[in-house]
Parts: sequence; C-alpha cells; structure tokens
Amino acid sequence: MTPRDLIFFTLAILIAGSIGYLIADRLCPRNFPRWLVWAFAPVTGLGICSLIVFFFRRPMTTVDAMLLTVLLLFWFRSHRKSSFAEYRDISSWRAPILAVVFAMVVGWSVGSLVIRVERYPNGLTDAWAIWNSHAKYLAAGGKTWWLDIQNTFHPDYPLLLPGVVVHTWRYIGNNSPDATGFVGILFELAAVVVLAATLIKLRSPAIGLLMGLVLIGSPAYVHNAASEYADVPLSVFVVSTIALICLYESDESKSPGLIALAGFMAGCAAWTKNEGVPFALVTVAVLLAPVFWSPSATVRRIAGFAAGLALPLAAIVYFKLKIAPPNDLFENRTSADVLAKIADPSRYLMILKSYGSIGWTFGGWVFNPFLPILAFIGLAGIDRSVLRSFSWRAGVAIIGLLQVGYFVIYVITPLDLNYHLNSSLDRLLMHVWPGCLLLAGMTVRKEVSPRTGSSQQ
Amino acid sequence: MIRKTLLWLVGAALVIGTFWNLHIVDSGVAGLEPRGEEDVTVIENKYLPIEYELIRKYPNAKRIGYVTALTLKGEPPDMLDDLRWAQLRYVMIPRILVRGTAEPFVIGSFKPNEPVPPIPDNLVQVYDAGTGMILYKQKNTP
Repeated sequence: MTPRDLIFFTLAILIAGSIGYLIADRLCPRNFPRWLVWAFAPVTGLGICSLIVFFFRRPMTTVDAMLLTVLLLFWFRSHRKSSFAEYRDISSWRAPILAVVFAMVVGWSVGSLVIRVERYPNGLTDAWAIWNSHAKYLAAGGKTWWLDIQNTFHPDYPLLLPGVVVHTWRYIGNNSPDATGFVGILFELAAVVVLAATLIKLRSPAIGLLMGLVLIGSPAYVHNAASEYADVPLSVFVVSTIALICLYESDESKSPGLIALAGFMAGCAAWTKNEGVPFALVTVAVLLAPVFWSPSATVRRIAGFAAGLALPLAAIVYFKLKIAPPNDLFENRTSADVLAKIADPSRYLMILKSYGSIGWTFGGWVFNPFLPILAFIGLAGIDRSVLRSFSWRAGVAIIGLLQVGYFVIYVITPLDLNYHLNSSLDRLLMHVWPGCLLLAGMTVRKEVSPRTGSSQQ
Repeated sequence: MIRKTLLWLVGAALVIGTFWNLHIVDSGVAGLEPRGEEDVTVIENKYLPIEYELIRKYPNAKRIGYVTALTLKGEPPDMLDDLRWAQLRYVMIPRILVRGTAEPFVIGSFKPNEPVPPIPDNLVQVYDAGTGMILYKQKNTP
C-alpha cells in the first residue's frame, strides 16, 4: 500500500469511526463515560458504512457526508456546553503497569499483523475467493453486480465485510488488496477494545486488560483477522451484542438506546455471515424469554432491540430474497436424507469428540489460557450476584443455544462430516471466544487492583 | 497473603503466556514468502498483460472462457487446476471467467516451459503474454 493509499484508507476509517461515535453517543446514556462510547464507535461505524454501501453504492460518499453532517449538528445541539471536561482528566491519568504492558502487546501484535498483510495482501482462500470477490463486484460490477456476484464462491453469504472493504476502496480510489487485511486487523482490535472496555466499566481495569491480553494472545484469532476471515468480524458483533446487553442491564435508567445498539450489533452479526442469523434469532429468543414473569421490562427491552435490528434486518431480507441463491447446505435436500442423518448416533459422537479436541486447541495456543483463567477467577473470587443476573445468564444462554444450533447443522450437513468439522469448527468456536472471555471476566469479583491484578482484600 | 501471591502469579502467567503466543504469531510472519511470490499476486502478474490487451482492443469483453493443458486434452481439472482457475477468476473481476471455449474470448493458462497443446479449430490466438497465458478469440468474433 502506498503512503497515498494509506492516507485515504485512514480517512475512510476516520469517517466510519466518527459516524459510529456520533450514533453510539446519541444512543448511550449521558452518565456513560465517553471512552466507553468510543469503544463501540468503530464497530458501529463499520456496520453503518457497510449498509450505506449496500443500499446506495455509487453515491456512497455523499450519503456518508450527509449522515456525518446531520449527526454532527445533533451532537453540537446536545453538547452545547463543553463536554470535553472529562477528557481534561486524561492529562493527570497515570497508567497502571498492566495498561502499559497491554499497550505494548497491542502495538507488537498490530506491527506483526501489518507485516503479514504486506506479505499476504490478498489474505487466505476465504478472503479472495469469497469476501474480496464479492467486494470487487460490489465496487466495480455496474448495475448488474447482483447478477455478476453469482459467479463467485458462496454468493449467498451476506455482505457486511465486502461492504466495509468497498467503503475503504472508494476513498482510496482503487482496489488496494492491503486495505482488506487492514480491515481485518481493525475488527480484531475492535473486539479487544469492546471486551476490555466493557470489563473495565463493569468489573475493573485489571480484569478488562487481562482478558484483552488473552484475546490478543490467541494466535489463530489474530491470524484469521489479518487473513480477512469473516469469523473475526462476526465475533466482534457477537461480543458487542452481549456487552451491550450487560451494560443495559447494569444501567439503572435502562436506556433504550443501549439495547437498540445491541439490536444493531446482532443485526450486523447476521449481515456478516450466515451463522450470524441463528445468533440474532437466539438473542431475540433469550431476550423474549422473561416475558411470562416480567412482561413490561421484556417488552421494553425487545422493542428497543427490534428498533436497532431493523436496518440490518432489512438489508438481510432484501439480499436473501432478491440476490442470494439458496444456501448449499440446504439446497436439493430430501427429508429422508436429513432424517437418516438425524437418526445416526455416530454423527453425534463424532461431533462431540471434535468439540472436545478442537475446543481445547482452536486458538492455536502454545500457552493454553483456559486453566490460568479458571485459576484466576477462582483465586480472585466469584461474584455470585453476577451469576444470578439476567444479563450474564442471557449471555451464557445465547452462546449455549448458538452452539446447539451449530451442532444441529453439523448433524444434518450434506458435506462429509469429518471434512466439515475439521474445516470449520475451530472458526465457529472463534465466533464466541471474545464473548466467552467477557462472560468469564464478568464473574470475577470487582475488587481487583488495577496495578498488580491482585485482590485488595 | 498466599492467595494474593498466587493471584499475582496467575496474572503474570497469563501475561507471559500472551507474549509466548504472540511470539508464535511473529515467528510465523517472519517465515512468510515475499509478497511477489504469493500465489494470487503471481497469477495477477501473469494475467495483467492480457488485461491491458483486452482494455486496448476489446474493452467490453465481459465473459471470458478458460482452458488449460489438462482440459484441452479432455481430462477433468485436478485440484491445482481448480485452484488456479479460482485465483484467476478473482483477479479478473469485474470480468467473468468461465470454464470452456464457448465464450467470444478464451484465456489459455499453461506452464511457461511446456509446449502448448493444440487448440480447438474455432479459436485463433490474439495475444501471447509470454507468462504462460495466451488470449484467444472465436474465429467469428470481430
């Protein structure tokens, strides 16, 4: 990537981030620290920009500019009196040692991944064969792009990632392959930031930074990010949805904006990969579940969630009905074939065995963090009130039900089961990895020193 | 006190573990081949002269056929053949690459040092990129 391309790539990301911040700022309650709003800005902005590319395509930059102008006008109206006061404290902030280590690790990881993108500008197979192929047709395919896109692998896959790639390409002015890898790195960083910031807000800086470190230290996760596999963006939207549900439940005002933002994230998950559709569905089901014993709170919660979900859902429905061909897993299936697979116990055993083995190694670790995390939680003490909270239970239920959904797909898959498991299960587990770290971090008692990571008790 | 020390140690282990894991990522990156040797980049560089020729003479050519030595012999494509076809298909977007010789223009992809097998009678050579890729057109294509 030339310095000129890098400048315009940065501009594209700054515009997406600004749009994301201004939207998140309107939706988050006033009592929320602004750094937490910034944590959700990139992922919100990238989601919105992808939808703008899909709905408007050619006049994309005009829509970006108009949206940014309108949002800025709203922002200035609601922030007439300077809201920079809380940023003034930054100059007096002294970084705890763990934060310094965290910053160093982030810098190291990004540096390494940038080199990786330079060497492998087109990413690995999924990147060029699926996402960047879709992006190229979306960017330069003319009015018949929706027909031309059928000449790619998996034309039924949703278009969030290609949309984000096209957003950057339009600002750069060419189809820079490096931009696609940088987008992948951005999504990885967004996951780390959402995870760490949410835990810093709801638990403590030490827990937030430690869990963020564990995520950055998952080689397969960062490798997939720089290789532009869509599993990482999907995991960002999964963890953002769960984080926002937790923040909504912890907020006494029960700001509808927070749950609407959660709905938007769930919608973006479905707009990223087909696996995001069951995620959005189980999230709706879990949020609806308390309707029998707590109807008014549930209706309020689901109404806000549905409002946020609406825009990405509209894109998915339009795409699936008008553009996408049937999914290869469900095309030309007979009920007899599906029933035979459901009735075969050896398939269940094989899937369980794979979950057992791949579940232990999917991160590609040389130092597996599972046991140290469990030890850390055990030694720091478990906050039982969290285990009883709706938000934590909802998060666990969402991840659990999603895994049940994946399990069922494996049972009925028309592909060779062994091949299907070996080629995808590690990536499916990555969808929920940041979410699992968030829920694990949530269980730790709050009183952990940010400096040393040790309990103050 | 013991619990505090153990907690500190476990936290330190997680941090060191992160460094160790990142070292693995870093080592993997250090072992990558240079950018110019990456598969898709190689295919792109082989194809670019043909793209320039298409832009110069036939800018509106959208669907392009594709043959290899294997398919010209009437044999089914092997895995490598499939991979190269998929890579070229990606490189050529927004043009559309399809297998076979039925399109007005056809690209032949051959290994640089191997003799080119006889092509079907309905095709005439338009341009040899000298990279192992040759552009043909149908005899009746203007």
